[in-house]
Amino acid sequence: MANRVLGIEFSPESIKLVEVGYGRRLKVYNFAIIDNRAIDPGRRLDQLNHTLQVRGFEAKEAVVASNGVQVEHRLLTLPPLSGRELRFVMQREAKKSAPAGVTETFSDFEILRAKEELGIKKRQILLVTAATNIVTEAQEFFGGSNLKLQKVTTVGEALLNLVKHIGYWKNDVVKTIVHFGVGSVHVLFIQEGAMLLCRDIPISFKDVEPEQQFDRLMTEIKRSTLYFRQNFPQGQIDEMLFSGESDMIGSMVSKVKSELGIETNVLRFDDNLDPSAFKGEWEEFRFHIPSLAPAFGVAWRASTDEGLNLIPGKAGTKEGPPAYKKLVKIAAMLAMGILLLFGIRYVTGSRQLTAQQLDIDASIVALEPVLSEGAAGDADRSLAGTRASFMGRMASEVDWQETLRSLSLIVPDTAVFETIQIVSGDTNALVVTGYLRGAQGQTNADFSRFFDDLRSLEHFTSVELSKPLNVTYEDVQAPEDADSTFNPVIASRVTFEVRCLLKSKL
Amino acid sequence: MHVVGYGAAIVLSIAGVVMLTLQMGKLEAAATEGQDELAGMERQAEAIVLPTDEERARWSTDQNLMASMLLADAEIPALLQDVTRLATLNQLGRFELATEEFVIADGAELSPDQALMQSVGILRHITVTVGFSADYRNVAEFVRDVGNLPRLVEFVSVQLTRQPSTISVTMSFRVYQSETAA
Repeated sequence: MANRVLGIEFSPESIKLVEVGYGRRLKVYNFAIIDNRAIDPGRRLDQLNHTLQVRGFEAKEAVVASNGVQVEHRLLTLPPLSGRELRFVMQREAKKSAPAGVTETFSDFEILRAKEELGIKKRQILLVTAATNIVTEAQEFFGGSNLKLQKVTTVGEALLNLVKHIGYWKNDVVKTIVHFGVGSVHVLFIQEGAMLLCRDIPISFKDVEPEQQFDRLMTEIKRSTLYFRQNFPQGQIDEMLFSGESDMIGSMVSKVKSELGIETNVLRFDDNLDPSAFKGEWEEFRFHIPSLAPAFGVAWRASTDEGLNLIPGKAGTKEGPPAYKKLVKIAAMLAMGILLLFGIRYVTGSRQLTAQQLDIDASIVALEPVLSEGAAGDADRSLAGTRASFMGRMASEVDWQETLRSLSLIVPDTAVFETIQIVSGDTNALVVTGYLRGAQGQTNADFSRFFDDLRSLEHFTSVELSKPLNVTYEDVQAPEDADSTFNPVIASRVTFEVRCLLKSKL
Repeated sequence: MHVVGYGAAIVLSIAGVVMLTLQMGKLEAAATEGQDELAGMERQAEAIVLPTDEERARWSTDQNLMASMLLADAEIPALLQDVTRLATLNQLGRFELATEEFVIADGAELSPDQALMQSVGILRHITVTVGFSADYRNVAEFVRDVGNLPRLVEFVSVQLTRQPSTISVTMSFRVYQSETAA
């Protein structure tokens, strides 16, 4: 949709339109041929707009091949020049090649191809100079339509572009194109995409009998051929191709072949068209294809900027894209190249890593049973250890009889054990509480000896005072029946609590 | 238009390169992580010491022994009878006996002793508390005899208090039970 464009062969008497989209094969959407000869000039624009609407044209951009004879095509062969020099030379050459009797012209040029002559690089440039009215007429006409006029070129240049796209060239072979336009016949001599010569021959169909017209055209074709051979003696005309809309084409094909000895044919390019999006009957359309050749030729471009443009100020650049565009293009290619390299690296790297990951996964899967078995073994060992520890707490290893007997052997006469408590837990201990009562001084000595003896018993790992000693004194009253020999003394009471850690388990 | 397209191609290419680099970094990180994990597992595997047959046989014996020593509910009367018999045998006076049952409840907070008990698969025990009067020799022999009962018996506390001409004893011990309730 976006790249649709209208290719138009324009003359005041006839407008031929094709709606196309650029591609390897030119996609054809629609076409129309408007014969304005019977229409009042003031209503021709209305006729165009009506046709565009009724026939369902969707393209808004239009490129025009203007059908006029006040046009001069010149092929120049020049050494490579800078853009500024080239423009200067072209302006000079355009002044020199203005059509006869024309003072005001528009011109544009197109670099066709580079070639080498005697080891010198040269460029073939097509310079087109046209009377200003050819361009302004088209601009004024289409300015009143809904179309946006992007380009005005000549029928000759449009045909050259068409033939370049059809492209069936042999080296150094010259093809002659004879196109019957509205009010003129265009004779082109083309070699490998370069237009060597172009003649625009005006013809009038009104005041001349058909036989005379035919003879006149034959004469013009012969003159054109002779002129070409004089100017390009090396050029060998291989074939003459006829296009356009004329009843004379059939007769002329056979006449030219017999009189000039040149192979003749009709210019066909049906196979270069893509009918997939065409609206209407394709077979009916095929009948009109030869007459639409310039309309196809002017529109068959990737963008409307390409090729010649006679509209002042709209001529495309001739020296290729500016430097920054080239830089952007190079940078884009470089970036895409780097992306490609990274893509390749990523693909190969990810494949390696995936393979490596698969190996790792396989190894992990192989190790998991081993680790599970080891973990189960550790768990069993841990459980067995815990069980052994638990069981070990059960059986008492304490020889209570011996322990208590040993205690009884070291108890001083002044001592009284009030409680003996056996405490189990992390540390098994024997806690003895009691007191010693006796004469002052005696109890302290007794406890000291008792404590030393306790510590020397082999049943305990350690013996300590779990509470501080408490020493109190009390007077011993004489009994009632005491005699005079009774000697009252001050009694001492030492209260103790010792904690003895047992060597053995309870 | 073409410049815009080329510019877009540059931007997209740079974005693609960045994305691919990041993605590649992720893959490499994942691979490194996998290698580290594998190396760790290999080290663990090398460190594994599987239990020997002798160890397993010993553990099995211990387990069977423990299981055989656990007290079934039906055996509690016999146990109490045994304790009473030992009291008589050791001439204990004023002998008194009380029992209390303990069960580890689901989700209950456990003391270290209870956690150890649970870790070996024991969830219940009874605590037997006895009180009696005797002399030192009989006390000692009674304690020894109770400890030698063919059960998992663990002493909790023994308290001897001197009385005129004898010793008053309060003693408690646990007897661990098998899991199955009666």
